[in-house]
Amino acid sequence: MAFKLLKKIGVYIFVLIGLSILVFLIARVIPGDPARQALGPHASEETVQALRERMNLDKPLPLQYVLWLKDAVQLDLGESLLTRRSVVADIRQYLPATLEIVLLSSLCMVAGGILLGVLSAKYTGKWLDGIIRVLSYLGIVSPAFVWGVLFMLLFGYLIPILPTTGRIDQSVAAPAAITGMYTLDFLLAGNVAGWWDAFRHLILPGIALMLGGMAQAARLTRGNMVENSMKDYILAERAYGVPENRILRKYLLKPSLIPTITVMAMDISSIFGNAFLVENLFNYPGLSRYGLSAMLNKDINAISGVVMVLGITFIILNILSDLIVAWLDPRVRLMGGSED
Amino acid sequence: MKNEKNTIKSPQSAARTGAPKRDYWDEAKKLWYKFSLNRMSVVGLCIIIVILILAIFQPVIAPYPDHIGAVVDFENASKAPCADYWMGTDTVGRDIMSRIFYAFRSAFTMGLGVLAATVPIGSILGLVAGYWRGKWFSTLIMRVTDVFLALPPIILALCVCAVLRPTLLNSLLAMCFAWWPWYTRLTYSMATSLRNEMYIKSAELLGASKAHILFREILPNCTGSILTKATLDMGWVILNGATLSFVGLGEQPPAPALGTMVSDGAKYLPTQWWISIFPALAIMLIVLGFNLMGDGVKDMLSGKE
Repeated sequence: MAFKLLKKIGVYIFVLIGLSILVFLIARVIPGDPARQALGPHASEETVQALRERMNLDKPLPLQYVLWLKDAVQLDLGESLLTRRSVVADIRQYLPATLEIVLLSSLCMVAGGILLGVLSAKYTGKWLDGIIRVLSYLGIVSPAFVWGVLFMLLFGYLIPILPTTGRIDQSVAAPAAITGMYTLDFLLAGNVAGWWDAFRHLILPGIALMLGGMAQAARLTRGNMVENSMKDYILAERAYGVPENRILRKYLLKPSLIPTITVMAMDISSIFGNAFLVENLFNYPGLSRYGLSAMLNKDINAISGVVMVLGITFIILNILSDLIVAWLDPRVRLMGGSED
Repeated sequence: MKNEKNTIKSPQSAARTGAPKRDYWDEAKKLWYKFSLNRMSVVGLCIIIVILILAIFQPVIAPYPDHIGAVVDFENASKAPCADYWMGTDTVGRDIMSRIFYAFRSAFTMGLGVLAATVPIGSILGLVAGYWRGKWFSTLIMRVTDVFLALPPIILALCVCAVLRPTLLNSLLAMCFAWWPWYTRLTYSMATSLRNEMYIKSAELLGASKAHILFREILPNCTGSILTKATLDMGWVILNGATLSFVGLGEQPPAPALGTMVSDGAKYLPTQWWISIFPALAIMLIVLGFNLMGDGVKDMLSGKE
């Protein structure tokens, strides 16, 4: 098991290196001159040339990559051409906001998805099952930005009970930055009113982000539970007269969760992907909004920085989901799993 | 060598000519029966056919077929849905419904274009990597696939789109760039398990060519899964394409694109809700159609009676 895990981590390290090459290449094939783009059409040729040299754009591509990587491992991702600050400082400022909203909506997604799936499977064929199935279809087929637009219309304008822009109300002062996640910082500062305000700002974008993943998780959990409930060992439990709820909890849920958890890591990463649109829509100052504006403005240092941070996040997520699956699945835990 | 091949091919071809002629009509009827067992998938198929008809015959069906371009009609600007404009008009007076019908075209172009490129490329790479698993090029292919799969396709597509000029073709290319590894992984996992089957071993022992083994023995056993995934993916590719145009990296105005229409309309949301809600519903409808259809295709090709 330990060996398997080490091998997997080795693969992930390779993926990380590959990702850095990919990101680097994408950022360098920009047609046009990034230095000229950054300085504008009125800058003199010398200043553009100076910036080009500072960004190593005048050197051959492989050397550029090595230099870029050397800086990157020392946490120097260069200067954002848009904000004129170091990309690492920008990421440090914006990442907590995105993590906050993604964590919250991932938690809701996992809990809600599994709960709905279990309910749906428990009442297979009943009206509750029908409602949950129709809702999960709707959740799967609507992109997060459509939910965002709908929620803004419903709860922002028609029944204005929730805020639709930013992280906190203008009348509320930002908390002292400890973690950078406002809800946590307010709690640490003991400011309940501030916490409530920050939390309210998370609700609409958070729900818009998680609905798709939650629907997917519910569908998958339901499907697996219904399938597993036909298996012989469950029939045997029933024949022994084990209470239905105990069967559900102890014997049915655990094996049925394995595929859900595997997909969950992908769903969380798609939450990060969707955050690019939802943060923009709700004017939420997070990493994704920063990344998107970098993309729209061809800010290559910022693009590579944001994508690398996201890539590392996904790799951590995958390792976590591997560990959880290993914990849930004795076949993996005891025998190191199948070959793939 | 040539002689050898002939002797090997002959029993097969003899068997093929000796067998009764395949009745394609009958097979199609059986497939349709299996597909139609799931009523929801027939609904999905109908949705897709209706959307396709609307897209193809937009100039005939749409009430204002010329409203797809830079048309301005300020007298009828920002009209709520009414008898003349079933889905209302946008801020410069163009009929939303006519524009949605036209936007279906680019949506389908996107879906078909991306799948036409990524399904063959991804599948062939997966077949090769799966059949020769353990060889250096197989490892290389799969590790590169891993790298691409490490990011959600939409982020990868956004990155590529960002560095190219925003056009429909470029966003299509960006989607292809992000989409192929899914097929590689799918066929890879199928090919690795299929290559140990007895009929593959016997084909190898009989000296069948690698191309024959890959494309005539392994591939036909993967087509079911590939087609099912492709049907579902039509919806996802269209959705992701809409996402790209939502942030302004897809087809450029004045040509209508579903994502662009939603994002433009979102600015006028509280009062002029129809500008963004109808295109949003249109996106949902397409994805729903392909999803429902995908379930039917899965039942149809899964081989269960």
